[in-house]
Parts: sequence; C-alpha cells; structure tokens
Amino acid sequence: MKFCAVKQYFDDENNNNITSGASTTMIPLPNVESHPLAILITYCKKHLKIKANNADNKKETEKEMEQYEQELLKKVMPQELTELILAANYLNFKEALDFFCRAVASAIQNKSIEFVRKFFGLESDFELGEEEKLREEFAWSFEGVDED
Amino acid sequence: MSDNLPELTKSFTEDFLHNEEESVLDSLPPEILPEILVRLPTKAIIKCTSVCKTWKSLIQSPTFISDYLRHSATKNDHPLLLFRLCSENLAKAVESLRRDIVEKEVYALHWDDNKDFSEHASFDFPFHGQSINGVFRVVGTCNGLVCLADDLYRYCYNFIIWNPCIRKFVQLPRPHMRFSTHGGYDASVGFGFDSESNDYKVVRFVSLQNKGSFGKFPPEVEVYSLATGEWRILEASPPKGCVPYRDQAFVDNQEAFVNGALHWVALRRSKKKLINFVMVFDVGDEVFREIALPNLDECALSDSIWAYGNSLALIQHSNLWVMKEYANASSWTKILSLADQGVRMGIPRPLGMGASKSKARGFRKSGEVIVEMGDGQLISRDLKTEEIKDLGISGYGFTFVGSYVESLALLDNPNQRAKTTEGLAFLDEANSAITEVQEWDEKDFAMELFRQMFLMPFLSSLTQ
Repeated sequence: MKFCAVKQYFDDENNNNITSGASTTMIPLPNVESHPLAILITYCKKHLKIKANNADNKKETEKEMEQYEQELLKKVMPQELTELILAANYLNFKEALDFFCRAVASAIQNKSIEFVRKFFGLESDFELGEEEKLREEFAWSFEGVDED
Repeated sequence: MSDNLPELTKSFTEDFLHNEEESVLDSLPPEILPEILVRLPTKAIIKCTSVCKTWKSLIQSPTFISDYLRHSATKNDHPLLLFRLCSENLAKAVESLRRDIVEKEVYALHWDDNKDFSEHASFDFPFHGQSINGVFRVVGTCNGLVCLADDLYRYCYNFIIWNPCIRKFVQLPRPHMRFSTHGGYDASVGFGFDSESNDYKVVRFVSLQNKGSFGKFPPEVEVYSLATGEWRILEASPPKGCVPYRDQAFVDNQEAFVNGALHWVALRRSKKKLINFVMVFDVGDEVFREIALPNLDECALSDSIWAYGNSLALIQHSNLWVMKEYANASSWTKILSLADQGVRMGIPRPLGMGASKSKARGFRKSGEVIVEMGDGQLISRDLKTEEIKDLGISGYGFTFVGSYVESLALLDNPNQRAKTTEGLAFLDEANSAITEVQEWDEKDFAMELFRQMFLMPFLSSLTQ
C-alpha cells in the first residue's frame, strides 16, 4: 500500500461523515516539501504502471523497476536524499523507503569510516584507544574499502 | 549475482565529497538509521561499529540483531546454501584415520538459483588443524550459525558454535556425560533455536552402554544453552529408544530442526522387533514427542531424516518420502525412488571400502534433492520432473549442505574458547581406540600412545 498516511486521512474523513465526494479534497501534509512529494508521486505512478503491464510476471516487474530506479538515481541530488527519505517515512510509503534506504546502504557499504561519518554528520566519540581496539578486532572488515 | 542494491552513481558520491557543505543525512530521525543499516552486508555492518558509540551499541543490540536476521530471512528471492566440502585427499585421509594437515575443509555459500548457482562467499576455516578426527562434523545450521562437533569417530567433546560471516565463535565447555565419567555410550547431537527466549541450544541424546541393550530404555539428555554458557542434564525422560550415532558411511543426515523442534531417527526394541520412529525434542519447551515412520515392519538402519520446508523428508531404502502434513504420520507419501536413472542411493558399506554409490546431501529451497554422485559430482534433482542439474561443485565425502541465512548472531558475545584450548584435551582418555594403526606412521603412533598414557591423564588432572 502506498502513501498510507494519505489513505489514513481518507479513512478518518469517512468516519467523521464529512462529504468526501469531492475530488478536490485538500489533505494537509505539513512535513513534506513539494519537490520530494512530486518525485514520490512519479515513483508511485511508475511502479503501479509497471506492475499493471507485467501482471503475471513478477520477475519482469522487478527488472523494469530496477532499470527505472537506476535512472531515477542519476537525477537525484545528494541533498534531496534526506528529504526523500523523510517524506517516504512520513507518508508511510514502504516501497519508496525501502528503495532509498537501499540506495544509501549501497553508497556507504564499501566506504571508509571517515566517509560514513561525514555522510551522516557524525563525530567519533570513542575514548582513547577504543577505536583502535575495534579496528584491530575487526580488521578483516576493513579490507577492500574504497579509496576516499 | 549482485546483492541487489541499487547503485548510486560515482558522481553522486564524488559531488558529496567535493562539497564543503554539511553532510547529506545529518538530520535523519533515529528510527531511519536501522532501516539503512539493516540493508548492509555483514562485512559492512561490522566495519560500521567503529563509526561512533551510538552506532556500535545499536548494531550490537539484541533488537537490531533480530531485525537483521528477519530482514535477511525474508530476502526469499535470493536464498543461500552453505556447503562444507572435502577434497578427495582429505576425505581419504580421514577415512583411514590419517592426519592430513595440508588440505583444508572448505566452507562456501552458493546462491540457490537455477540460473546462477555461483559462489557468493567462501569462508576461512578458523579451526583448521584442531580436529582430532581429521574433519569436524557439521551438526547443523540455524540463523546463520554453524554448529560443529569433533565426534566423527572418537569420544571427543569439542563443540563449536560459529558465525562465519562475522568471524565469531563460541567453544562449548565439556559436557557432563563422557566416556571417563559414564562409560561407553552412543550419542547423537542436535542444534536448534528457542525463539521464545532467543537462545541457541545444543542437545545430546546419550544411550549409555552400562544400562543394558540399546533400544530398551530411554536415552539421557543433556542440553547446552548459549545464554547460560553451560550444559545441563534434563530431568524429564524421553520415550524409550536409542538415538544411535550413525557415521557418514551409513547415514546421510543425523538431525532435522523444523518448527522449533529437533528430530532424529530413533530405534526401539519392542518384543522381538526393532522399530524406527522419529524422536522429537521441542527446543523451547524441552518436551519430547514421537512421530511414527512409514513401513513399520522393516527397520532400516540407513533411514535418514531431513528438514523439508516446514515438514520432514525421509530417505529409506533409496526411497524418498515426504510428510505432507507435519506431525501427521499418515501423511507420509512416497515421492521418488532414488535408485533409478543412474542416481542410486548409498547402501551401507563398511568404512574404508569407498562408497561408489551416490548419496543424498540435502534439499534446495524449491525442494530439489541434492545428491553427491559416486565420482564426487554434486547434482540436484527435481522431485516432480526428475530433471537433473549439475551444480558444478564436487564433494568427496563428509559433505554438508544446508540452507543458510546471513546474520549477526554472536556479535554480542566475545570470541570464547573453553578453558582448555587444546583440541587434544577434548579427547577422552583410554577409549578412543586406534583401530587402523597400520595407516599411521610410527611417529604418529608413538605420539598417540604418549598422549593416551601420559599426557591425557596429566592434562585432565589439571582441569579438574
């Protein structure tokens, strides 16, 4: 189910017996900017379209979705990513949230710790020597890390 | 095959690096971070414990470890199989009771996919050279953990629980029931997970020789719990029957962990007959049940039981049966005879004669049976179409195949070795009869005598 928060709003409206016949009902979404919302709506529409086109073939759907997602990522700017994730989370749009989280995971998986810290705006708060100990214990996990 | 993560373009990350501006995701709400981390491969997650204290405690928390497992397990479109393979040289050496320190046991993960059965990862075996018997026996896998036992031929109590993905392990302390304390016995071991208490358990069913003839009395049961780190002898009594340890020459599989319970094929002596049945041990409640087997009239010593989806499969006299409805013995259905079309089941052969017949080794996610052919080639066979597929892998004996899921289990445990780190200390005194001495060279033989007569008693007096 996409845009669960919006659906919830409709359900609540129905329960309150407000005339919900109008197709121009305005739903307040204070936490979502218009730009990420537009991207999410496009994503959603595309997903539904691909699903409809490949009604029985799950693999085909997946393949087409992956291709679309790769294209989409080419157009997304780093700064937009936070907004997109927050928007998808607020709207309870599971597929989009999964997609963007996977994208972030793939961006950081082979990167150095320093890169990851910068990416998330974090500082190391370990005590003296604690970080060295961890790096030593898990030295094997630092192999094959991309150059910064 | 990739890990199915979308690729952010190089320019994305380069742009980010060259920008002097603030970071990308600094205003991320805390509930989002686990959503990102749970999608990382295990190697990257381990590395991320060094980012900062918050990340370290998040990743090592039992909640996150459970979430990671759940996420890993639901990636059902890309199931994994764990293979433990021995080279021809290693298998021959083990069967002749020879130590081969050069050849290593191979542990590898493969994608369980007909289009692409390639290797996903292979693991460095950290316990190489520590097995008294030459190779460890793989008891089973569960939630990404592998349970090993060094009990192939001799009384030996080296049990290890290992997570190969994150390179963590726990070596169990010696169990209570041993040759030196209880006399001769026959034992089977199982490895399972108690989802109620989030605990992993190793279970030993021990039939003591000095109690009388096998099959006439219930076995003793001892349980190890990872949470307590200790073995405990169970008060409750299992049904009458013996769960004999069957070595790999006879039987292809020992135990099956399904629906939260361990299952073994047990023998019961009833009047003049020897009957086979399934002994069931619920790992959570620690209670016993029984399930009848088909063909009660014939007791086949080579019966083996397997996990099959949410139920059980049985291989009896080269026939494959599936219990269509779990725990309902009347739903045992014969599916396939494995003795045809050139794919023939192993008939029990005395050790050392070299099994030239093929043996079942496990099942794929979609239900195909994996068979090791006489020449070592591993194939899978569809149970409905009977179509055969060459998996492109070879195993020459002591092959283990099991479904596998990557997890962070044991991350919150330090690597633990039992107090005595020497593998030798797990070897029980006196008994471990060296039968095929002629295969050993003189130096080995002299060393073994020394160990048995002098070193072992000395070491065990130290650890008392």
